[in-house]
Amino acid sequence: MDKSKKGRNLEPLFRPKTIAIVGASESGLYPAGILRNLLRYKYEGKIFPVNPRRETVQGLKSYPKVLDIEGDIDLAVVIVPRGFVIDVLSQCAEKKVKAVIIITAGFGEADEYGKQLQEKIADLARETGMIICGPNTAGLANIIDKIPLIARLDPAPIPGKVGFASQSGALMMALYGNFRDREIGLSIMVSTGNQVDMDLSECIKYLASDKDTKVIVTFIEGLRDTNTFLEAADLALEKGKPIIVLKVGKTKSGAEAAVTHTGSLTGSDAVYNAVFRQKGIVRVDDIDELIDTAKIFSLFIDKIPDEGGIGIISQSGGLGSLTADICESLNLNLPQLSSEMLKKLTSMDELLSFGSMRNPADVRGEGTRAAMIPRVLEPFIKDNRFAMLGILLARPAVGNEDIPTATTIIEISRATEKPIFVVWIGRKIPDSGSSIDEQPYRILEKNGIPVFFTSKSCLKAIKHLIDYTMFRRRQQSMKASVE
Amino acid sequence: MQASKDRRILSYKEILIVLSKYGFPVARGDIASSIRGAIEIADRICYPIVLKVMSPHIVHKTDADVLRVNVKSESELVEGYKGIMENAKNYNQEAHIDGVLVQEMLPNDVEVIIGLSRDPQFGPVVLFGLGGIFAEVLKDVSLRVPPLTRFDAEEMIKEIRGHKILEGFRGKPKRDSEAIIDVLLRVSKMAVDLKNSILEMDLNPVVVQPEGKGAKIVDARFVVSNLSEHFKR
Repeated sequence: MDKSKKGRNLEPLFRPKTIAIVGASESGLYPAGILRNLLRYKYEGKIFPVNPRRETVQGLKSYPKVLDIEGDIDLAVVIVPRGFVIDVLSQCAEKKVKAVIIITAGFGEADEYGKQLQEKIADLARETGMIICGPNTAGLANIIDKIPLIARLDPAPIPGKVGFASQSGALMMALYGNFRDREIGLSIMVSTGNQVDMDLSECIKYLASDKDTKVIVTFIEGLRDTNTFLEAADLALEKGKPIIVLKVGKTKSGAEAAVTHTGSLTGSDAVYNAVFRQKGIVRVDDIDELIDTAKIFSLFIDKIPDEGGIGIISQSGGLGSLTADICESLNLNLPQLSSEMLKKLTSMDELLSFGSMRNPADVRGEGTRAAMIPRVLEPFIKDNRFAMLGILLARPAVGNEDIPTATTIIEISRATEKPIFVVWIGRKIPDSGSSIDEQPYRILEKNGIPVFFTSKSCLKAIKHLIDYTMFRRRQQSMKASVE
Repeated sequence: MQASKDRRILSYKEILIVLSKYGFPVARGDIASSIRGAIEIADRICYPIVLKVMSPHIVHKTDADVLRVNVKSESELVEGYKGIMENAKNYNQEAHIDGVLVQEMLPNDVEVIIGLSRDPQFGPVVLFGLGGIFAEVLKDVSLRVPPLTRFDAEEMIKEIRGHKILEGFRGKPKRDSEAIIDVLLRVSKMAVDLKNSILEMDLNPVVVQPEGKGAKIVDARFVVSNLSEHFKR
């Protein structure tokens, strides 16, 4: 990376006060979509559509050229055919535009001509110092500041603490739906495209220093600037902002000709794993694990005490045993119930037919009714050996009958500091007759209680959080003892 | 991978210079080019000693039978020296022989491997594992990218599945983890200083003695870039 790029200010890209949309139009996914989203979500800065063939675009005055715009431009979003991109960029440079997002595709990823054009863009970036995102990017969205520079953003976003940087534009757009479905609030999302100038490492570094981002999620196809990536990882660890990585491309070992043992034992993906481990980066294997982990981290990142196990109640003995097996294989701590707790739990008349009072405690159907959950959970809440509480439900969440269960759990969670999670086998009923937002699991998720389909997906995410928390504490206490 | 003409395997003499420059703990010993020289070295470090034929072309000393351990006297040394030199020639007529390493005999102890390789993206990578089959067959190793902090070094040791062997088991004393951390940090410093000059390196084996008694490098292998100013001939 050029020395001049080190620590440069990316605010004009992520928090522009004035935006030119070059190629804005009334139709087309990007030409219409980006401007429409800016208007729909009430972007507070100034917007200048640029389109020589129109007087107005979506009700705003249209400018024939970038150079015709009066006043300074922080950011230009370029959505013109590739043959015009260089000319537009030259105008942006002359206009002293600080940052450019090139949505247009057909460059390095396409053909020989595209590669040549991309080289020219790279030269322009170096010569002018303009920040360039793309080309071939799906854009970015600053959710907190209402700056949606992407074509699709439905339904309306939830502002939050998760920042998402992706090397795949399509995945960024698609995953927005997954984040939204799980009520995961976002701060910023950005797709890096062909990384002619700004690359993923620089994005992650920005997110690590961004005041609104507390959890960083990233999709990696391959890193270009590993030094900046390591700096970003150090900064994120220092600030206690976990990085959750989904990385593809387990490349073949680069050590074919190795003559030492070390040489043959250090393949490329093994090195990525080592770097992730060294910097406390959480690696997940697939989309579902990415979403589950982001969900748990965004809710509970600051809520994991030093010593602490998980206390679980289960509606089903079978589900409880299954969950115990999973906890053991993940090396999660399930403290045994104290005699005092046992006395309390077994003295409840309502639990006459109680199953086995271990952890997970089999409290059966009676113990997971709305009226009973507060009483059954109380001994766990009072005992400091339990840092987290889990409720395992095994019943079809048939419409209204289970809404009191959901509201009771929400009330309990508001009265305790301890994180509460729910695994609900049968949480979603296709023909329940109620709209999706009225389903009990949705009500829970809207109120900060994560709900999972399976114990394994839930506990894997929790394991990631505990591992991250413990790693960072070990690292910080070592640092403190050295200083 | 760089073309082979740019790669060079360091001789043991060269290795000793690099290792001593960075203050690595190396088993006492020196290279002899004659039986008389070997006797002088052995007298200096005291019997029992170990004899090894050092050659960049003979990697597996046991396979070539060019290693004699627990050599207790001058007469055993003379016999051993002749034997292993002959075996070396039989093993590989073309092999260039740097000489015979006469080295102190260390107690049979826990052995670890500490290494360095280069990743095309991240540059130098430090490796740690237990010696013998643990690293080679079970691939039970940990990796980190330098510069290493002390915390990184500690985590590397704890990360391998076999780390309990270092903590003492079946009545054996705890091993000197501090000494391993010290070697790891020296490797890290060397990797940072010499940037991309070292293409591959093994310190193998490193004998780790009981707590407080340190660790000693018994053998090492360096593949360096000839293009680097640090290792120009």
